[in-house]
Amino acid sequence: MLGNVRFGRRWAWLVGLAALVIGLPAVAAWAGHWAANGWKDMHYNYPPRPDGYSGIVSVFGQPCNSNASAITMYWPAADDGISYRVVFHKKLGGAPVSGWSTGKGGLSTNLDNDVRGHIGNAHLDPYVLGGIWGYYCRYIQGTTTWSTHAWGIAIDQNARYEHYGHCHIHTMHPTVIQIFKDHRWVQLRCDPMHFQYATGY
Amino acid sequence: MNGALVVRRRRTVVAWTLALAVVTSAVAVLAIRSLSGAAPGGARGPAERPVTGVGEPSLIIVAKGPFASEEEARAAAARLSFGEMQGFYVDRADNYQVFGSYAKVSPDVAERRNERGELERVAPPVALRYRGDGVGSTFTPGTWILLSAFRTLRGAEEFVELARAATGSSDFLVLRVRKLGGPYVGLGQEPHPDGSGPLRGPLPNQESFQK
Repeated sequence: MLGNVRFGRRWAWLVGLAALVIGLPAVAAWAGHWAANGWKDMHYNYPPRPDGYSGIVSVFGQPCNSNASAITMYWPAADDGISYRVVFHKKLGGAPVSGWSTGKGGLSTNLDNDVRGHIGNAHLDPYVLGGIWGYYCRYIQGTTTWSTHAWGIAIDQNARYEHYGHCHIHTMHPTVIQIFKDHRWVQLRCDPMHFQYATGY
Repeated sequence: MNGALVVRRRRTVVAWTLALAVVTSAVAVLAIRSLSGAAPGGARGPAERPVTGVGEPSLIIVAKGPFASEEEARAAAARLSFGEMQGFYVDRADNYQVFGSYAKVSPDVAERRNERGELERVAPPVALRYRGDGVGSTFTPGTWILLSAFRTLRGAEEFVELARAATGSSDFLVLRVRKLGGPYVGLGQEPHPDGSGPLRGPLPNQESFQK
């Protein structure tokens, strides 16, 4: 009787060990499958983050210039399953990444490879929701002053659920916010859907 | 002894009342700031000169409506959120002489393979085609519309794409018009065809950029 119990315990240990040996690499592969498929954070050739209107013009040129809408990526929204076109400035992405992307004629890896890749790699895509856009040649609402979207240096996410002018967050995941911040993007305090590659504006 | 105790108690009550008042005021100030929504950005850039477009031979408008009254139109505009960006303006339909309309010739959703060969459903860029003079809608006199005006087809297409993403609908009227009067309705918010920056004024051959 006692022998059977010991034998059973040994088997339980063996099964547990086998599960760990087989399961851990599988979990690790699942947890970082973007990286497993060849994605890597490049941090290549980021432009300086400008401050204020003249700083933005100095780094990125006039609003609505052709470089502001030079690069396109598609970003999937988890709520409706549709990938939305995000257009942005040539200096903020579109550079080739060996073994991952052939590039789109851009000058850095910031938005489309590094920010997007970190979010995908960390399995945060379910938290990116509809109302996703980048460049548009538009003013700030109620004014005739250019929005940072007009330079292709701003991106909105979860715009269907967040509110402009409200100083609290409904759906943005804190790690998504941190990933943007780690790549020189700024989230405005009372516009939680909005990230821009500039300060003082 | 009793008198001293009473004085001490009164002082304690006064101190607590003052502390409570200070904390309540601070919370109220924070709540009001939060509700009114402090300006999200810091300092902003220079303001562009608003040009109404009255007198220009033809413009393109992306419109929604019509609405029976100005109040109804403004309430509808307030319900549509474009984030930080300017959405629709409000104007009388009578301020527009309609020449013809545009048809949307691109799908709202299409399937494509991404760089890694995965099939995905995407919202492709918007393409519009002019259907010709005299073809399409006119507005009922006396009504109000939501709109944004452009000088080029590209400007109108970009705005329809933004409005589709922002509102979840692509149910807009796109019309070639002449503006007869009324307020500023968004001209200038489109790229100049030469790629240098925004289109701040009329083009020499504007009609050729509208078809």
